[in-house]
Amino acid sequence: MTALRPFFWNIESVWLFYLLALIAAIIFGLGLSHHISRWLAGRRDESYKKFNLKSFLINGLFNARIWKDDSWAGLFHLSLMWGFILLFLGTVILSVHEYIWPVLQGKFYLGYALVLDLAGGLFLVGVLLAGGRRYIWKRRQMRATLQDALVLIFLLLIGLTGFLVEGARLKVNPGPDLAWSPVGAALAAWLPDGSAGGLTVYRVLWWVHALLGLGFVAGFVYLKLFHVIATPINLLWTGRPRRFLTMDQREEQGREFDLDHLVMSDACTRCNRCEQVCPSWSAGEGLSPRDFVQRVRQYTHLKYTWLNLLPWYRRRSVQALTQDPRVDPDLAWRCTTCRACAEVCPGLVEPLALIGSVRSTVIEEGRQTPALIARALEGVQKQGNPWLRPRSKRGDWAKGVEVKLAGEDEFDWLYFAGCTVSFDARLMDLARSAVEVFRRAGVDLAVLGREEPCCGDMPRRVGEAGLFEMLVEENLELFAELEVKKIVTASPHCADTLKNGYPDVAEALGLDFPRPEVRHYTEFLAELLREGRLEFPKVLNQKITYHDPCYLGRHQGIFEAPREIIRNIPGLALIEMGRCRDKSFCCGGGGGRMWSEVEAETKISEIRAREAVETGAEILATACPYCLAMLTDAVKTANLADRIEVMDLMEIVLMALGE
Amino acid sequence: MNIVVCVKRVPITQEVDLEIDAGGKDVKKDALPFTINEWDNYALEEAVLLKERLGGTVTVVTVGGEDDEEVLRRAQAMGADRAIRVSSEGLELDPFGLAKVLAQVVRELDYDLILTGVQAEDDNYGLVGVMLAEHLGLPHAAVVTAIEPEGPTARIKVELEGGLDEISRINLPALLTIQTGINEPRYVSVMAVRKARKKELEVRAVNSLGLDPKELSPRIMTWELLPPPDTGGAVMLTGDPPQIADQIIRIVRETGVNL
Amino acid sequence: MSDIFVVIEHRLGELREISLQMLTKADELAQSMSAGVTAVLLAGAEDGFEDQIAARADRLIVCRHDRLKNYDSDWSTELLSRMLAEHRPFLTLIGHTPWGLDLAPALAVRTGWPLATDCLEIAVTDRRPEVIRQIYGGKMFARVHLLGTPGYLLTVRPGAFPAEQIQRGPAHVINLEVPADLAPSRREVLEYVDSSAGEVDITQAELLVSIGRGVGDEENILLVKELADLMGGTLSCSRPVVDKHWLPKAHQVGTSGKSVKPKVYLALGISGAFQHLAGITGAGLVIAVNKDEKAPIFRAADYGAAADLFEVVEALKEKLKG
Repeated sequence: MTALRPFFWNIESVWLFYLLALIAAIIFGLGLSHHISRWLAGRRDESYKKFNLKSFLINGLFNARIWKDDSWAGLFHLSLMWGFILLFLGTVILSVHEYIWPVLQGKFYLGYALVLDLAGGLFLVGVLLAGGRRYIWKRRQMRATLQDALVLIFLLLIGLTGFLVEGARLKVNPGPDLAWSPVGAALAAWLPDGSAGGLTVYRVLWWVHALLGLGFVAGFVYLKLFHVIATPINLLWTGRPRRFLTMDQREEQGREFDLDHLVMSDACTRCNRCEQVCPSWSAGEGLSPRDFVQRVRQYTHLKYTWLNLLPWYRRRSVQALTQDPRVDPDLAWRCTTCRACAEVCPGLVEPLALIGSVRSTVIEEGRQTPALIARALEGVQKQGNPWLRPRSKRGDWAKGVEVKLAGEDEFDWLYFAGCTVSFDARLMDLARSAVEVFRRAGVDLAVLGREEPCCGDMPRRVGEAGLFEMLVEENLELFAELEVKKIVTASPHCADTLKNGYPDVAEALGLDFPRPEVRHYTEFLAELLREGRLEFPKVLNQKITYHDPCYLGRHQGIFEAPREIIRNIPGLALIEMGRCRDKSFCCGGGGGRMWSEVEAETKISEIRAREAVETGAEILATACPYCLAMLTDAVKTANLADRIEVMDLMEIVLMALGE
Repeated sequence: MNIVVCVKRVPITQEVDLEIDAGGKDVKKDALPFTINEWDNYALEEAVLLKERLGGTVTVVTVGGEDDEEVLRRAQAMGADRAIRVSSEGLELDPFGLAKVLAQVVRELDYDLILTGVQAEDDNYGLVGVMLAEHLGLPHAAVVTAIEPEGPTARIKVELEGGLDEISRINLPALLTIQTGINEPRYVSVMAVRKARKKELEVRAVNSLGLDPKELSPRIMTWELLPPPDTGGAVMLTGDPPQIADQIIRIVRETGVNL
Repeated sequence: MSDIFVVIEHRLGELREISLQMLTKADELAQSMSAGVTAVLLAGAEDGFEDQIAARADRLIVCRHDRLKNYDSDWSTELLSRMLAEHRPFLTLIGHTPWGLDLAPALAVRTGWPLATDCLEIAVTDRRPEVIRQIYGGKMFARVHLLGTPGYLLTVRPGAFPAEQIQRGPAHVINLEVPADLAPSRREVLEYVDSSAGEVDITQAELLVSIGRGVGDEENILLVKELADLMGGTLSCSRPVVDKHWLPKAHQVGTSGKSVKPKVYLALGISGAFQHLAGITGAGLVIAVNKDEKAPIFRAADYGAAADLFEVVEALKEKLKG
């Protein structure tokens, strides 16, 4: 006899099931609509129609990010997820079998039964592993809440009762193909004998399992399990080009967050990886990216739900938000925008993007902007730099240096020193060294001198999008006027902004100016090396460690070029720090932090300085002026100056070039 | 509480080497960036804070040319409701003339309080505020560092020397000149200024105010500018920081102070 | 009679130094003009001022009332404008102080006379006063003429002129009653408060390490405090540091802070606005470090270094530790 899967086998009052199912569906619908109404409060545009299927596959179906650096996490989640997906598909097929076409027969049915048994097993293994990680091995310093425990117990019960129902059914009605349902068969054997009671047992278990199942359907959108919907959607938008909205467009749309920010807040499962890599958190400053994302989520729950159309609900929301606004702008200012959080998140949530959004809102409102940042921004507006130095002194670093001036001479490459290098007494050396190095490499270089503008990185990262927009327009016009076609920068911040920030703005504004080619000096030097235009006659016998600047490494993906340079300098022995490349630990200077006053137990920069010293290296090399400033300072204040010297790669290169 | 704030646009001169212009009576300003007078900014912020707390309107007034409107726009972005520029139309007004012009305009406004900065960053006279009060017949106080309105009066703190403050009560309406440090002026974003540009900005011509031009002729006149005298000044120490540090330590020890 | 009036300033029962400085200058001007010097005193019931003043003026007009023991804005303006209208002095000197800033412009409107403020130098040429004053925070000096027919009003910067023993007087004293028709004041003093009271008393320090705007941000203050500790000195600051609430008011040096007389005053990142300089006139040795070589502080300092203050602070710390 061909195998055939019975449906609602021996269950009475099936109508009750349908009623409960309906209720479950309604509750589910309410919850889902609440979430969708929250999401619809976000800004959206055409770019959301493009889906990143590759990321969806790799991170969604294969959980690639979860596996990264944590195989056990990958294992438990993949098991749990696929176990569940297969079981869910099983239910779908079952419905098809019942209402559309009896597909569950013959070999297909047998295969189906086996797969589902295995899936169930896989699911339970996943749940147990998850519970073990959270409560026994305590892997991630996660702050466990009651919801976490309840969800795990709930899932465990669904899985167990599912098997128990099968076991009870098979006990009473074994059928010829028991072998294809191994787990069920085993359970059936284990269940006590007594066929009359067996049916009752089966019925009871069936209803329990059904209720749990329907409960799951009704409730999961209200729990952290909603990420099951939110995270895959977020994955579809991976790498979505973040379209820049002009001031006009923002004014028109008038919203606080982008659509994908809101989805991200739901995609977060509080796994804590971001908090563990966040430099601000490590220094005890109190900013936890994961908490921030969760608080944004809570905030949007209260502010943007369609339920606020109901006056009583609205009153409740307003009161709740007045008592606790949920989002703390103070914390938002602590982020260094290093991207460590975005780099590790399994759900591809980018906490720094949400933080950036909050900053934008606060800045444009004005009152809660920290004073130093306010003055720095005013400085950018009035004097073209955030250091409150007069514009007239911008080119002073080049006094006594022989270098062409763009606008007066013809040139090939423009060296862009940047605000910090131009005005800081110590950092000016970087620019002077660069000019000399490029001269020896035979590069046709010019500088802008007094005319050099602020690239706008600081306003951009601090949330002053309007100012950034203005600067982009002015600067592209300036570059066009002076025929600047190729730019090499001292700072990775300038490089990132000019390279990756400007095109979006130009497009949004519909600007026609030519886009210059932009390189950070490490990329450029590596090229020159490969072309044989640089040779290092001097042997520098030094042990050196390299700090990957966040804006060179994680933001632009440039890890090899600086190492290539170091490898090519004879005598340098490179010792990598544990946290290097994409895992580099921030120096604490990005995201407007150079203009912040944050009190903490330790300084982010000191944590990194100590890490460098521990490698035993004599030189701590970096390729970013902020890193140089922060780490030099940290080495001093941590009293490590006799053990390590902080230098910029450009200076090391100049040394290696000899006299 | 309706408040009027008088503001001035001045050049930014921090760290700039000022040069005397060809006429010899003013400094070269064409290469300098301009901004709102620092004292006036504090006054404006105080006005907006009071309005946010107590309700009412803030009206900001300046006397000048089109370029000076940027300061009014910024004020509107901060929260000022009404902005008035009195077009000086090329008239050279000294503080005496300015006070009279402002008095004519402010007289017609409805206010409980007028705030100005103690002085301007450029001429440092400190005259316009109190003179305006006198023209309007208002009680006044100069160098105010705290304001607490209490019905028909206000409790104010006046900054005296040596760390001493005077706590007084003054009848409203009154004019107060505001000292720096009374608050922390907010940031005004580019977007906020842009939005403010859509608001109305009234322009009145000086000669439409009903003043006799003779009234506005100057009472004081800058005859010439002089660079700061080289009064011998400090003996400058040279060298790199370690060398400078050595010299400083030596000099200090020579005075008998034990380091 | 061609006359020079000097408005006497006093507070909490003490005659202020500026009054004596103005009387000295008035005496000098009066001599060159063959004019007389009249001191005007609005005061409470009793004080010891009259003798001090009487020795330095030809005439002393005194108006006493209990209300006038503290500065009264409305009454001062009214009483003085009546006096000036009656006597029509050629020149009237008032101190450029918070009270002077409150009083003088009001008088200018009442009398209709021109007024130049914060004068550093006063000369009378061709029967017209000519003054020198600072603009742009001290970066530039201006010679200013007062126009029109006499009288003329001036406010005088404290410390611009010395207070010396002069041979004038004894003054003929005229006592005035406060007129009955004087309208009640619209502003009254409730109390005086010393906001600079705190644990630190910078006026007692032998060595002060003082920081200004150039310190950049609050964290850096710790770096400088370490230096102060190493040097056995006390930390002090200029006004902007207190405005930003980085240090309490008790640390502030200057006209609105404290006057200090240390043996050594090390000014780091302080530009040298005159209000600050006024607080260190009594200092023994002033050493200034500021990256702007044109900073006004270098005019007042004994030694200076146009260098980055943090580099110098670090270097000093290293030398003192090692």
